[in-house]
Amino acid sequence: MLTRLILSSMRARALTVVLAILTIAFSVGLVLAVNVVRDGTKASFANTISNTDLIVGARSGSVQLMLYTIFQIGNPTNNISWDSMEAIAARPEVDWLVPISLGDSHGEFRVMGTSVAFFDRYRYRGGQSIGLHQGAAFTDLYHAVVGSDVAATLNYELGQEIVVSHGLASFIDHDDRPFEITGILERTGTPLDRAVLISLESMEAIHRGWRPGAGSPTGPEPAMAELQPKEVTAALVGIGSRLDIFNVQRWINTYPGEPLLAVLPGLTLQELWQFIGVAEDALRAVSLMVVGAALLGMIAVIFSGVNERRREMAILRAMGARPGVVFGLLLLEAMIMAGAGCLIGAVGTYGLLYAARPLIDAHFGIWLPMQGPGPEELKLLGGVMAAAGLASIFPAARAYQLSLADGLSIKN
Amino acid sequence: MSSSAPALSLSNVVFSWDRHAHPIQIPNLVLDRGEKVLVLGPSGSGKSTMLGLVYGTLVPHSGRVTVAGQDMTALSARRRDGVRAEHVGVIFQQFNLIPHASALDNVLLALRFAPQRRKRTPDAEDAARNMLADLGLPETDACRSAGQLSVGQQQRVAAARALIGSPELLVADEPTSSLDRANQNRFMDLVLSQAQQQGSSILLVSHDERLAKHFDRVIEMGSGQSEDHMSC
Repeated sequence: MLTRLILSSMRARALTVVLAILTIAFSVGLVLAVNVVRDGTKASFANTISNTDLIVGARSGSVQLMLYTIFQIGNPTNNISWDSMEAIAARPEVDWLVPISLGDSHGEFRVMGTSVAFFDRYRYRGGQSIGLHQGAAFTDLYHAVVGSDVAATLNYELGQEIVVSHGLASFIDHDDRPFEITGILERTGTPLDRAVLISLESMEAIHRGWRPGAGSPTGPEPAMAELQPKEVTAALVGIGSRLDIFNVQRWINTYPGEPLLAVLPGLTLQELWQFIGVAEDALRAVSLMVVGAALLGMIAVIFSGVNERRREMAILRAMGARPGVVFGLLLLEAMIMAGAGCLIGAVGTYGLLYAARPLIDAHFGIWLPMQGPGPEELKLLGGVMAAAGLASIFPAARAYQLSLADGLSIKN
Repeated sequence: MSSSAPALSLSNVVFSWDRHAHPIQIPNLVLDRGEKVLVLGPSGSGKSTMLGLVYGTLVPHSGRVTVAGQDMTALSARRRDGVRAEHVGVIFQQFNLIPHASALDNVLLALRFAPQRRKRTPDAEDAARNMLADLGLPETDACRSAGQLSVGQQQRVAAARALIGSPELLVADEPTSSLDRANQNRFMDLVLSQAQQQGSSILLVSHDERLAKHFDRVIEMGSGQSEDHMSC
């Protein structure tokens, strides 16, 4: 009967109660959403590159190598020679090797020279291969494949001709050798979305005999075989057996021909995340502040409810209800409100995010993991419930005090 | 508590709201089982104070108050709440019903914290329905929430709540002040016969001496023993 009393009492105060539940639901939802987005961002970051066992470049810092080869941030310190590439590729443990050549740009975007194997070997998000949204990979000289951001920002279509500039942020164009867009990549949420991909041979061709201002020498196009580059910037390497990765890494790092560096992408990504993990902490702080605000709101609602229920509490006491009962009623009410708020907040948020997942992926390149509430989220929900219980103690104590002061002569 | 103990006894009770106020004194007041007593007195004569002492919300400076044999002056506030719930049915002047709960639940609430009264009422819900019907509340109104009932109907619910589970003592504080003459008499008859049937003693406090005919005994409280002393 007491439960029935609580429910009818809550129904009598429906508006306040619904508002309180919504306050809690919104706050819980906000925090859960922040957590999901945080996890999604972290996962997207960690998923920038996968299935590549080693990244090889000139000797510098591992984070730096990762930044310029994969994230297109900063400049390579040095190139590495084609001979070294071949020596690495010739190792029996090495399954595949995709060279990368950097240094030119197209507008705000970077140009990456690579082999056709790149489209097959570069994987992200747990082994997903990059697909072509439109067109096909480059098959000939002066073919270019552009990332989705490049196409979207510059309104590029298949067949359009573009010009590559020499160096980064440069005013010198290789305008005597325009490229034709043969493919547009699907959105990946990786830095590839902002890259222009051309073949190593094209890269070599636009630079062969080229001098700033004078352009390329005239005459017949050189044959593909002659366009073997002498050096590249970096290479992605796949190793046949995981057990050999460290052996090959050690071998590359002690390669006598030139100073090389081989890094494990996963490990380096983690290292890198530690740098930008401050953002994660900031998000976490925001969630905590949101929870705090939500709890304050909840206390306010419960507290104002007590005044509304002063009369009810006094009647209960007149009927012989002990303080524990009055306490328990308010506590149960707070629990019902917090529970309903948590449930609505969680179901609503996860439902919404689940529905919006493809949209978020398409617009921000963040694929939300959506594994439902993990231990951290459950801890959070439990914390909200516990805080609701604690928050109700104060108003409950006041309710009992008031009912004592009112005695049995309650005025209307 | 023995069954032969009087329903209520106040002896040599002295109570004062503060040092300067004229104290209220009740040398001897005993209600035997089944006895019906009317306490008459104008407002300010100390009726409410006396009721506070009976309910156990007030404690006398000296003297003894026993309810169904239990010495209220020797108990903690919480135990006094318990004794009152168990042995005293109260019809408040303002009825004090929970407005959003049904009439039936309001009546049943009286049993919720009184195990002995509950034990005496094996089929509580039927008993509550019957009690409401006996007091003249139509069957169909039992499930309506108390706030929707008319004043007269609320009064019947309050009476049913006080009477259910046959408490030793029924206390009513100006229960008819909001009723017209005809309804007043009908209501008093109903309550008194119900109380008599289950052997509850009645202590009714009023300023209306016309009610005297319903009672075994009338006690007049003198004026001038102001409980509401001037504060400015």
